[in-house]
Amino acid sequence: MLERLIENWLDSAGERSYQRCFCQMLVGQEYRIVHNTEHTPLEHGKDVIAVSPCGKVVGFQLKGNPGKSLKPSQFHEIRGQLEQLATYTLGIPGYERKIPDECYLVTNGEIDEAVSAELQHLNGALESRGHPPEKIKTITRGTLLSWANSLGLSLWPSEIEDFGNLIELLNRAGNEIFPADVFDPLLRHTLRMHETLKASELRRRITSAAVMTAVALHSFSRRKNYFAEITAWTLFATYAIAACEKNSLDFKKNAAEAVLTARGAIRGLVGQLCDEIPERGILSEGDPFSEFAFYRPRALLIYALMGIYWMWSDAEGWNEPKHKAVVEGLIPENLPPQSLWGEGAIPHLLAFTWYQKRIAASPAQDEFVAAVLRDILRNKLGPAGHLPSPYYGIEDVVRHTYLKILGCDDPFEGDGFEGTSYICESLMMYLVRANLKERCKELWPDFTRINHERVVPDEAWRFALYRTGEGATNATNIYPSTMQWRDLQKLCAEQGGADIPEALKADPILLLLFVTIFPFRASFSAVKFLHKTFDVPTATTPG
Amino acid sequence: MLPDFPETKRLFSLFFRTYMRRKVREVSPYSAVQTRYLHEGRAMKITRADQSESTSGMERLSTHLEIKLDEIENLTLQKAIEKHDAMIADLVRKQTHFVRERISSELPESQSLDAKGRKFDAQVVVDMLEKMEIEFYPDGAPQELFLDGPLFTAERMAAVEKEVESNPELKRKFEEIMAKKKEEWRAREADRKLVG
Repeated sequence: MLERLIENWLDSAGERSYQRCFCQMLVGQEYRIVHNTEHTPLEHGKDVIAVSPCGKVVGFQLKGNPGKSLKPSQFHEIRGQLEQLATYTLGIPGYERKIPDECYLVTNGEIDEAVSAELQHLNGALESRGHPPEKIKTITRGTLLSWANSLGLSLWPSEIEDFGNLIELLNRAGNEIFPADVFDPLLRHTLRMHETLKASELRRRITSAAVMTAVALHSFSRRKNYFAEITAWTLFATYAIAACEKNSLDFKKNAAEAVLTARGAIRGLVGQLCDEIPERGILSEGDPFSEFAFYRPRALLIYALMGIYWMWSDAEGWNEPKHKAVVEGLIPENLPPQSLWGEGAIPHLLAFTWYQKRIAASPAQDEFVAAVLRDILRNKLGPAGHLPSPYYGIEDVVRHTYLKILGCDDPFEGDGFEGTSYICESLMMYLVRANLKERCKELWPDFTRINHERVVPDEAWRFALYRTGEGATNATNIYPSTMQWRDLQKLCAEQGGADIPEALKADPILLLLFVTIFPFRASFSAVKFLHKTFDVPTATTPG
Repeated sequence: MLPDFPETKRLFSLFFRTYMRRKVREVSPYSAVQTRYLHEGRAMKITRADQSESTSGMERLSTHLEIKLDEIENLTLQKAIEKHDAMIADLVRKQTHFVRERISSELPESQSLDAKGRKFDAQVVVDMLEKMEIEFYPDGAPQELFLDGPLFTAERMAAVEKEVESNPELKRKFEEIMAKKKEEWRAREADRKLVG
């Protein structure tokens, strides 16, 4: 049954979605990916360049022929690219003058007999020019299926609950928010988070989890639901980090390559999202009559993702230089009113603000954060309509708000948000670090009137999961009524991040993405750490 | 198997679960207390303004619902609800016991009063108020006090109220305490400041 699921996935997967899984399967065979692109015209056909375990440089040209064969006409279109792959120097950092030792034409379909013959001719011509015989080989559906089964499926959990969860994901329409609660047990069980693993077993299981991620995303990839794909690959990356740290195994040796590959996929997906935005003109999706409830929260999320993309590309280089202008043209200088739909929006507001400060830092951005904190404190101490905790997403908020007309259960039932906050400490820290002493003094009385909530994982690896499980403490902190400014400064100056896995801290972009997608992970500790990395000081008048 | 109707039964099951959840809340002496849903983790810790800390774990409270085979034939919706009501009463009793026990163990000595076997009367209330920290609304009205425990029966409360109303000395004492509490509250509020 599971074999059929993989077959079905491979037979309908587009080139880009199977490329991500293909790269992970190479990593699972101890290849090191040195180049991975999702088709830009300047790449001369080299989709993936990897170094094999025996040190050979191997080039892979991927084609998507789901459920079909690669026909001669299609081959003619890529023949030039293949020849370039086999004969040109790579021109990528570290391999500038290197020609690949081996080349593969990869397809998730079959190869037509006539194409095989043409390939033989091409190889013959290359041989006559001094290249080794059969320089270009093929990897087709059968090999990919065999890899997916041996590297992926063989280690998937076999419990019926997991099978049910996978089927549920595959049965989704694919246009919704990715259900992390359904995916979480699949990853936890595949990575055996309840057991201790040896390094070799962990590496195999990480590859297996990657194949699982690609297959589980099937419905979402078909709908080009990039945010869902970003969510799932982010979870894969953080769970691989968590598994390494839990088993006290060296991240660099055992998971870094898989996480780096997933990271590349995520960046490609954010880039595809960026490509889509100018085509749309408006950040609207689906039935327009219900957009009154969703438009602004979605827009804020997109600004946050694009802001992260900008900071990411600014630090590591733009894959698509035209995207810089797209992002800068998209993100407004100021957010429209009523953008704050819950505490879950705060990580989005922070990503937006940090981006803005990098574009043009000004005291107005810090004042904006002060205004947000003031609004939240007033809301939390007010009589009704308290902003929900970051454990509730926009869909929960909308269902709660329009309960009567929607006729649904109240997602907030049994929970209360009055006088408590998960995020105010982080915002106060932001203002203290910005040296907005007078603002802090104004806000302090209300700040001390509320309970500040934190979830502190017992072990750092639990932070990287969708839920920590039982191993965490729900800590409530009530600040003393009177506090010295310098004591508050000292508290806020701490680096933070003690309860975050080291490998996740070493990749602040991934961490920022993680807390943007899962706002309940924007703990005081995490935001302190992220602030140190992403904030740009502005010239404020002290005192 | 015999023919069954699981889809419709699922809807009934959903109804009973919702009914239980809401009824437990309705009949609990703590219905006015704000509840929180813990999404992860099992331990709880509070660090108060004076830096004192309390740590506690979770406790599973359970009850059981019994239905005898010979009851099924004549079971009605009303009877099914009554069975759930019995279960709810048991659960609320356990919850109340648990909460009272936890409050007693967590309360610091300075905020506890040993009535030493005295009956619950106006003097006990005066002693209680003396020990309490009372909050006020910004308009100066005291925030509501919630009394919980076997001592605080409606009859005793009415008797205490009558005792206070009929005794000008006691009434004056109450007013003095409340005035003092308001001053203390004002002082606390005035202390909410970032200094330096």
